[in-house]
Amino acid sequence: MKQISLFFLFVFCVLQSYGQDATLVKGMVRDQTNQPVPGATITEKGTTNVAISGTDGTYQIKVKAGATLVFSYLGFKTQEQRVNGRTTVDARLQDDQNNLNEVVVVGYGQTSTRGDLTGAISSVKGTEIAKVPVQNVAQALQGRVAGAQVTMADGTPGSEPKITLRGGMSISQSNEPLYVVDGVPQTDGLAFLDPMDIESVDVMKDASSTSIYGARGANGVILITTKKIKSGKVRVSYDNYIGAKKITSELPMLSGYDYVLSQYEYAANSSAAIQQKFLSAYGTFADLKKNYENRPGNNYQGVLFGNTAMSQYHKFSVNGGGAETQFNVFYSHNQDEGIMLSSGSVKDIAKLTVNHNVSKKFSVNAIVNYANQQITGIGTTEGGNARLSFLQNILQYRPIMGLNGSDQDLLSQDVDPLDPNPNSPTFQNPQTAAESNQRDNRIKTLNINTSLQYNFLKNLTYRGLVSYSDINNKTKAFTDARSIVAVRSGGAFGNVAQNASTRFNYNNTITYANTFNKKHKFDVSVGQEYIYNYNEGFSVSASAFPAENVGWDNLGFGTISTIPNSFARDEKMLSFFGRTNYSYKGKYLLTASLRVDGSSKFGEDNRWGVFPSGALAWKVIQEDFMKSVKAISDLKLRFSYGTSGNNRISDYLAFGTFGNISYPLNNQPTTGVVLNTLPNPGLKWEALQSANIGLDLGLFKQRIMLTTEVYSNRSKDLLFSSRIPASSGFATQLRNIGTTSSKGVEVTLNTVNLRNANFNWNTTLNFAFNKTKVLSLSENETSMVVNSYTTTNDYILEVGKPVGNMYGYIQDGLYQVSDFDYNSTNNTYTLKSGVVTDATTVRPGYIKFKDLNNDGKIDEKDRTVLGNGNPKFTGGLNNTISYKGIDLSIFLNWSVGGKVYNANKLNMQLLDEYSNDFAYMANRWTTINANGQLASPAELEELNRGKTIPNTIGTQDRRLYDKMIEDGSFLRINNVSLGYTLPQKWLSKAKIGNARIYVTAYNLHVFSKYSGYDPEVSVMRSALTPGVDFSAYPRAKSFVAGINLSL
Amino acid sequence: MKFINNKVLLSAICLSLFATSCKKALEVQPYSSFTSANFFENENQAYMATLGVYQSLGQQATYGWYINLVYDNDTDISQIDGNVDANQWRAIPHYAITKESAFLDQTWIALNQGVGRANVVIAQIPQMESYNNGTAAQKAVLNRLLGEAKFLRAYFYFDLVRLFGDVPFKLTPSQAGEKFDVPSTDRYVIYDQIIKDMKEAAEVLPATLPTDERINKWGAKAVLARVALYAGGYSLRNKGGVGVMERPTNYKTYYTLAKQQIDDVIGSNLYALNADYTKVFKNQSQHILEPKESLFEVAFFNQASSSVGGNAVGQFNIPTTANGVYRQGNARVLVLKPFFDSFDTKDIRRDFSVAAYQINAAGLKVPYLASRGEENWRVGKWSREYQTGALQEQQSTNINTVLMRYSDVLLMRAEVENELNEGPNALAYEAINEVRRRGYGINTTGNSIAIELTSAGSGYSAVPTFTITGGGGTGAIGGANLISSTGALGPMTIVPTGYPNTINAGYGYTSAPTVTVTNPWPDNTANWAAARAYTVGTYVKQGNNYYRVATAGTSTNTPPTHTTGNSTAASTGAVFTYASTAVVKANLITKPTTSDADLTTGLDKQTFFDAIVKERALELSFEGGRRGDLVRWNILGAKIAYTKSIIRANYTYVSATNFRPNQHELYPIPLSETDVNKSITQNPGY
Repeated sequence: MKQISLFFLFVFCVLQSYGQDATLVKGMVRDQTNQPVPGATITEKGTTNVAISGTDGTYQIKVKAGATLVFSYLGFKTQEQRVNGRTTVDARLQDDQNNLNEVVVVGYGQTSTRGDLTGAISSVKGTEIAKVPVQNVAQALQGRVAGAQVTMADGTPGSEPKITLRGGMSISQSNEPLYVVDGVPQTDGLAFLDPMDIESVDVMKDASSTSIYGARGANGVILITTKKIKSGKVRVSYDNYIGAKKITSELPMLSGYDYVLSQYEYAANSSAAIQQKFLSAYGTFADLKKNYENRPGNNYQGVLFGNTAMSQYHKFSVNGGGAETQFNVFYSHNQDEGIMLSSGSVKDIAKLTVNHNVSKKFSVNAIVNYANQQITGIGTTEGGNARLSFLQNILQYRPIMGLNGSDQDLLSQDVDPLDPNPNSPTFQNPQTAAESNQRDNRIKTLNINTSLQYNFLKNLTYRGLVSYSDINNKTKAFTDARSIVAVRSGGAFGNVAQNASTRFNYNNTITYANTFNKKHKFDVSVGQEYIYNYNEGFSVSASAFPAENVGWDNLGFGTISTIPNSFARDEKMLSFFGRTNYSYKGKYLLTASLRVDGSSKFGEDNRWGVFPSGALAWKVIQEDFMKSVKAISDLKLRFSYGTSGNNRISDYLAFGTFGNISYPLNNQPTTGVVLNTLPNPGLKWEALQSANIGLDLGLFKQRIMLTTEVYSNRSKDLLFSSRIPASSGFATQLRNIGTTSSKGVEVTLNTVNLRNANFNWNTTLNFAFNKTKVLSLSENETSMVVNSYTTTNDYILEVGKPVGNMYGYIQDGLYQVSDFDYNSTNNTYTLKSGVVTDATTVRPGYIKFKDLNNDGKIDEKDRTVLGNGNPKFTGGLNNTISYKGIDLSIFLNWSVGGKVYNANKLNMQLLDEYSNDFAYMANRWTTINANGQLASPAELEELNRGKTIPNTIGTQDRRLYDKMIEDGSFLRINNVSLGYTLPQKWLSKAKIGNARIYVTAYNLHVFSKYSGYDPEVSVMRSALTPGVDFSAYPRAKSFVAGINLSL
Repeated sequence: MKFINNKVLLSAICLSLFATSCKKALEVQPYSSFTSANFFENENQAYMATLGVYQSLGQQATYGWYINLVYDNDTDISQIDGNVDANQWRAIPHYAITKESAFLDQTWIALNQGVGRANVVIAQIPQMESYNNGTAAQKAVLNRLLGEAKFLRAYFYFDLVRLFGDVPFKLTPSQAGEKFDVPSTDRYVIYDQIIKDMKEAAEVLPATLPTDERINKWGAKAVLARVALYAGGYSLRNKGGVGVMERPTNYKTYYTLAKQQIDDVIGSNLYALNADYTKVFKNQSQHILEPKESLFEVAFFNQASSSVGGNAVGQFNIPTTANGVYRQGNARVLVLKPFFDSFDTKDIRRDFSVAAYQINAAGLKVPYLASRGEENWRVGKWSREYQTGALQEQQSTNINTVLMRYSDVLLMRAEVENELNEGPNALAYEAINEVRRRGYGINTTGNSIAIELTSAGSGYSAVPTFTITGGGGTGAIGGANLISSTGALGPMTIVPTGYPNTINAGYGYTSAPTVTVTNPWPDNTANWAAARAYTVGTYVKQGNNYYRVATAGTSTNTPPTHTTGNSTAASTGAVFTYASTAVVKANLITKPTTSDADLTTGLDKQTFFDAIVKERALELSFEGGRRGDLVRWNILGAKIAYTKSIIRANYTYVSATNFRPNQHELYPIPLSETDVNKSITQNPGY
């Protein structure tokens, strides 16, 4: 429509301008940040006289004296300048805040303008992302897209953030959206992309938009377009930043003296042998104060996380080309040290894009992208078992050496002489542990992507895409002889594993577009897609290395090898789809699509899924009656309904497969087989039905723009590997078990607060509210209890309740002396009748739980919902201010109402032999009187008046209770960035096209009541168990300084 | 370019023809595993599937650790070290069991999984072509496999009912869509099936001695005898939520069943006891099959030095061992002193089974001499000393868990005959005495020895090492107490042998060995010097005499010359104690005879029963059956209380306070199970 009217305008102008005198005007077109804008259109107003700016942004045009020049370029506001006798007219184009003309990618080569959109799609421009460099593209979306929740599971270098759109519907399968990079669907994350290489990110949120991606669209689809090629003079650019980061906070631990006191108390309550051990290690009670009061002890968090970690980024790129062939090639190097000792990530990316126009009808595009990422370090979650992760080791390791050496000695002794299990040490000084457990993960990703377009007729276009990707993931681990794991298992051991996956994908679409009677504009596309995934891998390990060894590079040095294993699996998917867009007079818009997907993952009966959708939009602003309402510059109502699916499950689950095991007869490995899983031939897709109502409102010539989306989603046939009665012969089975709903509202507000030639201030604010609910579970089930970080059944899925409810006990104070009868002869406490009993034998000072069902005893029936790990609402606020060459952006994001399950705290709320505790435990219920003796009942009462922190000596009680649930609401100053674009007059002397320098601070501060490292944490990566903080890698704040340079 | 195969091209064609062969385009074949559609096609596949059933026995959650070593503990003979809180698994033996226990759940799953695996084999084999129309040889192979699967299914159910009571019961392979939340079935309904399965298995299993760990006819019958004794014994019944220990009124029919099986096994004349009790366990430790004594064992072999596939036996139930000559393990099973005391001093099994010592880095056995030292006594039967020392066995061993020994069969005979005849008959006496005589080492050559202090020495700072050489035997350990005032050696107080300097009497000595004792002074002791400040514990040499400084001081010009006791400070400055080396000798102990070993004749039914209760502990200690025996006899609580009453007052023995009768005889059905199967009745008290 637009093009057509432009065409008429053009013809009209040609007629008008014929035969007038002209003078030559030169100039340069730049954007807000003084970057040259190539390809901008410069029109002499009222004429057909047009010029296009070159790659360096310059132009020249012959115009009549006194003419007015119109500068226009897609995505920018059109600008008019009167020549007024000047021979040089420079233009600085402002970002078009009126996004109605913004191009939105809608999948399979098709685009739409924002104004013609019927579904709920949010976009982020690459220029925005490039301004504030991030490690991963996903991170760049944080807080910028209403309804997209981007959480870093923790701060591990190289770790991928998790994106959930609209709360995530699947309860057990991946909630990760489908990523479509330059038309190629990806399910392996975005690590292979360079965040600086992004042109645009379009986030499809409602099913009418995503159903074109059918079985993989239920979690939303994120379409990523990498940098487009610009033709013209060859242009070289260089981007760089360097940065430094520091841990944001340390968790307060017991002071050295308090630690020794806790150990004294433990010993006093334990056997004579343990008391003797304490005495020889730390001395008599009478001397403790003297010996330890002024001894702070080691701060292992400082040792392990105290480093200043450096990061640096370099990118060289060259692009250019003529009308027929254009190219873009870049290489980037990104080195990111972790704040933890010997951890970090290095990523190298090389990419080549070539465009070739064979003829006017036929064009070909090819992209080759190679990424090589190396991630090193043990991470914080690895460890001997679920309860003793590496972070827990750091926190719990004893800070005080005692009488027999300085505390510093603890860092040099590989195995602590005091370890309670000298035969099989459980703790090791964390420095040795970090250094002796070497880990290396290299991910090499090659993507080759060829697309072609052929315009058969003016209205009929064929698009084809063939892509191949090869991901090679190699992990190497070597545990050298110093590690306690090696001590326990008889020497150093190592493992090398490699996983290779290849994906072959092609799709073909044919589009017909036309307009009839100037009123009916429509297009129809039909297409087909095929995906073949093949995945194979192996793992080899060897152990019992001699003292001298070369580590993982020659496992042959090991003296024992395990039987190596390997696997291969494949998956196929065949799809057909169609989509039509129709608009009437530009006022009424209709989109309908249908996709049929067949997937090899499902049982024969349920292999094919059909995913229809439809959407309507009414551009109210186009109606005549709106013409008089001047204040309103845009008004559009949208409604959509559609379905999509989720098939992210392992291969072959519908089959019953026999796997190998060994039952060794006569000391020989003898291979047997067992049925791996209980097959479920009825397995089918998770299906999402989604309704979305959207309102786009623009006020005051689009100075204020508001987009509101209201949605209601319903997910059924949810796949869940549910615990089933063991009498089936299996512990779990993957089943389609239930239905959940989520409803929410998303608001995005863009305002232009100030705008003039030199000064610009824009604000983007977004809010998202989301509420989930379990509508049904498998037959006759009303609730399902699930585990989080250990097998403690601490989350519940209950019909009628939200997903992500934490489930446990309520503390009702502590057991008091008065609750017991005391037997002085054998110093035992027996509960008085009438006092609530517990399955474990209780003593004064133990946690008393609330007997919710009033049956006089505490058992699993007294558990209740303690909170929900999902936030009530999330949002982001971005302010960008530019003044001449200076640009400033301040970005805040927040999350309100989500609870955090502080499992670090729960795991450590024990008075255990050897281990250190959080500082608050100093104020625990104590069993020791001032003389260091076990307190009598009367003393106990006196010593512990008003105490609320339990003393759990003699129990291993880690049942979840309310005090371990904390408010996870936060407001984060996510980043503040200040940039300066050097004035052109300085640069032109140095023959530099453009240069910008900037500094950015990340994660400056978090306002939160949470007592752990960071409230934005969820280590379990499952929608069922959000908000668990166990052994998360602590987050850092960082500062970077960078430069963007182009010649 | 494996991925661009014909099917890819096919699907391209499929596009042009639009969905003619779309079904084919989506067909995939699992590369790395067999599918149920193409399995059970030949005998070898049936064999592999049967090994898969066996494997349910060989897991950590079953007989690689939990059932035999963790759950069967804290009785009258042993307990797990550490407090309840030291590690979650300790809660189970220490009677602080909760439904939440992941360990119980793992066992619950593993046993049920075993049943499920067996159900698949039992259903599939009869449908095989070669089972129905194959050669005789093929049929024989498949029949044997079918018998093995039936036996194993019965064994898993036996464990389920003895550990968990009434449980869900299922004999068919699971199908998708089946309803799995079935209620508990009465344990006697399940026992009927167990007995039927084991009988059918015994019919088809080979009647010859096995050459590997696969079950044979006699093994199946011996296990069936045990099953019958459990079925005929007490178990905790749920009476409206209250636990009551009960046995069936017709329990003697089970004893009769047991008798038939035992008579068959013994009547086969294939089995015999190894003359040397110690050799049985040494052979186990060295992976030497003992087909004549061992009727059923679980095979272990871990390829790598990891806990996967290996056994905890031999690293969990061993003497405390320091890294050095032998490899340390996780010595977690403690022996209770009253059990040690219950042995006759002539019984070789005592000093072999109980490690009243630890093994130091030099591989020497060091007695626990400190006060309360006996609380550290551990299990000696599978000591690192007897193992091959293979690197693979550092973390978990390749030792098999032996579930049925011939001596158990003999003791079952004694018990059954006593019960059925209302008193011991000749068969009963013969059986128990056969076990006892072997235990006393009557049929082996050589004797035990007693170590005797002929001269107590003086001036020792620590108890010296006694080195015993020669004599042809093994195992003897000497020890002494240090008398602190003089540095002389004296008798040990915690060893009730009558030989106060013998911690282990050993066995197999044909002549008295030589015992050498280290000197009190170090080899490079310096000469005495005048006017030197001496600290306590320093040794000096003066002429041929050695002295130990007892009180610090500066020496005068008068050297010590006395040859007994202390010098005076007035004359020598520092006080010097005369140091002399103790002299120790060993004597052969009179070899026990059959009359020493044999049980008193003429016992009544109850007394003979008590003797069996005791004998089963002496003979089968730490092999994984004690707790089960006590439960079926309904004396677990009484034995714990009795042990508490005779144990030293401040001996750590948490069972005495934690054990709750009429609850702890059964474990709870794991919470993870009752969360998904609400039809199950929870056991009383949980």
